[in-house]
Amino acid sequence: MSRELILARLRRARTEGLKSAAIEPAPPKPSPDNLIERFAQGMQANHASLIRCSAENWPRHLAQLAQQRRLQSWLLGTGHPQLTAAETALSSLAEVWRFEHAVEQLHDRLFRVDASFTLCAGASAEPAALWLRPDPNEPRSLSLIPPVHVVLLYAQQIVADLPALLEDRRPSSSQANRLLISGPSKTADIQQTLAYGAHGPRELIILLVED
Amino acid sequence: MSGFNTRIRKALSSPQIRQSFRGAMDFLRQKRAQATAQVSDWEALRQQGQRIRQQVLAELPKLLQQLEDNCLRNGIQVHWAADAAQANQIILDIAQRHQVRAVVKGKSMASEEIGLNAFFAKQGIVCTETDMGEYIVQLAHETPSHIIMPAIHKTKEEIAELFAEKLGHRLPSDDVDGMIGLGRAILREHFKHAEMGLTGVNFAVAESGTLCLVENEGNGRFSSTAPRIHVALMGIEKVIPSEQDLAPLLSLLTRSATGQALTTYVNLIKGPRGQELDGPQEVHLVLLDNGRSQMYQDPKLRETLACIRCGACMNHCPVYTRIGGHAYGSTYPGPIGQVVTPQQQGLQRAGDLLDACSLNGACGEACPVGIDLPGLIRRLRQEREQSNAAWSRRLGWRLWSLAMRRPGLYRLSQTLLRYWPYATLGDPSGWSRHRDFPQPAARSLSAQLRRRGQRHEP
Repeated sequence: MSRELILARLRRARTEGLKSAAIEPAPPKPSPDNLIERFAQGMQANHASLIRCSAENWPRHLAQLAQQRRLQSWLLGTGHPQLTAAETALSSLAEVWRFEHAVEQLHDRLFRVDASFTLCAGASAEPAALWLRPDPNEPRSLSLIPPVHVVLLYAQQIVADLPALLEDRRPSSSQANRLLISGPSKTADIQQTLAYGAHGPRELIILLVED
Repeated sequence: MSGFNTRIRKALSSPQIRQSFRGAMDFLRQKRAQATAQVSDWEALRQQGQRIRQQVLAELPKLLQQLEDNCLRNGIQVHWAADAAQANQIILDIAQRHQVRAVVKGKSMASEEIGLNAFFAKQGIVCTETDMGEYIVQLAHETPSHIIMPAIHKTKEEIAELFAEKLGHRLPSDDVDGMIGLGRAILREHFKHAEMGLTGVNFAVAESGTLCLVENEGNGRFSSTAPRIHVALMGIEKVIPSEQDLAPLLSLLTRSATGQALTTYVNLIKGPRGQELDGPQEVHLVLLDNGRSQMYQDPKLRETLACIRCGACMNHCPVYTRIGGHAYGSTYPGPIGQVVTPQQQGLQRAGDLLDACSLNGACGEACPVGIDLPGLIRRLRQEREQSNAAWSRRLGWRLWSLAMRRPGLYRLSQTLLRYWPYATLGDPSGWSRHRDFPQPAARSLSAQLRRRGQRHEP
């Protein structure tokens, strides 16, 4: 069996010289100041849009977005009260679908909607990134397939850096996928010319709730 | 690797190749320089990365077993492949078990290494590359010329022409958005219908059984999300101990590769669809050896396995910048390719690659995990000279070493060489074909020093 063969060959090698290599502590953590500003600047540099709003008015901003950008069909997850608020805000302007059943029953709808709206599990300021933990309520396709992805982020969810974000040890036994997202999908594969919307969303819009 | 010199000459005489690579390398180097300057202490980060990779090498068999245990616990099926043929067969068996007819591929250099597309094509299964660069290269029936930017050798004009010919849509060559949009629309149809998605792995976390994929486009996310089956293929060296190691390694990788603080997506996969409503029903991990356990035997050559495949070494290599990736004729071009390929294919077959290096050291300085690439190239050159150099070359080195150890002989050889310099670097080696042959000084350095009254210490 190849497994035993490979492992036996690896174990045969002499590695004494390497054993002493101990991992020293990471370099000092970056400053926790201006997390919101640094996050906002980083995200904008990555071509994401940021809309600053409050806990009261974000649904109104969402509705405005749908109207201004003519986003006429939306796909939302289930289970969170914010999604009900979003649906209420959008329902008079657009078709709103919920991701309630297995993807196989939804396939074409998933590829046809104009936009999706999700929550996120956190964010880091440097580098600027959103932290998503897709689950049965909010499947991973929501942040991948629709051409516009709108994310609701609360300012207090922003931490300094990636180590702080990845420390998130909440049990994820039922979650097969976790994601860092730092902007809209992009490519520079044609003569280093940047183009957005390679495979994932062309636009990433963050509703940043500050109170 | 025969024909290396022919390919080099061909590349050097193509203004289009010279221009494409010069432009792309300048672009990538500048972006990397900016991205590393943003980090308050890049050297400290580099050392941290180097220590992590050293720890991996110190504990490789243990970490692989731990990775396997945790993947199995998470519902990922684990396979071990000793070589390319076995890896192909393992993936084919999975495909046939599920009557797979179409495969979508995220970017994976390991799959290039094993020649998966050609193997599957013979079995009647279509593999479609979905990384935009790889898609372009596949349409053109070519191979990647760079490990991060596979279509770097092509201009916009060539790609517009290629799309017109193969896809039936003629777009202006300055409409890059249009071309990417066309690729997006076509590849989305493939994503909808493919039964299997194949991706590489950037890091596999032993402690949690998590596969980490790093990308900007979403081809890796799509390939690991839409099809029923996801197969991830990785070289055994891609394992890392814990999730804490991810942050420094990600920063080193993306800053070195494309000059980004972070790529658009970092995708952490822990298993097949559980309670979720989407994602693959099955996830398979194929661990590929293909010469790696052999590299692991030697304390120096083992360093090859510390590589995180960022491509910075080729971006900073003056030879790669001039001849481009295809001239090497190997899956991995540039300095890391010059070190990996002869170890995988043997010095007899691929030893030529080691000549395409001026030992300027730029690759070693750029490497984010501190691999001594110039040292590895020197070491492999030595082995080549010892094992299969021509008798004339071996004799030459013998004489050289003899003369270096005997002052009398040394002086005699210096005198002789002043009158007959071609003995060392003459026409037979080809050295003077593109260079003026340096004129020997009338007096040797030691003679000049003696004249000035300076004496060497004994």
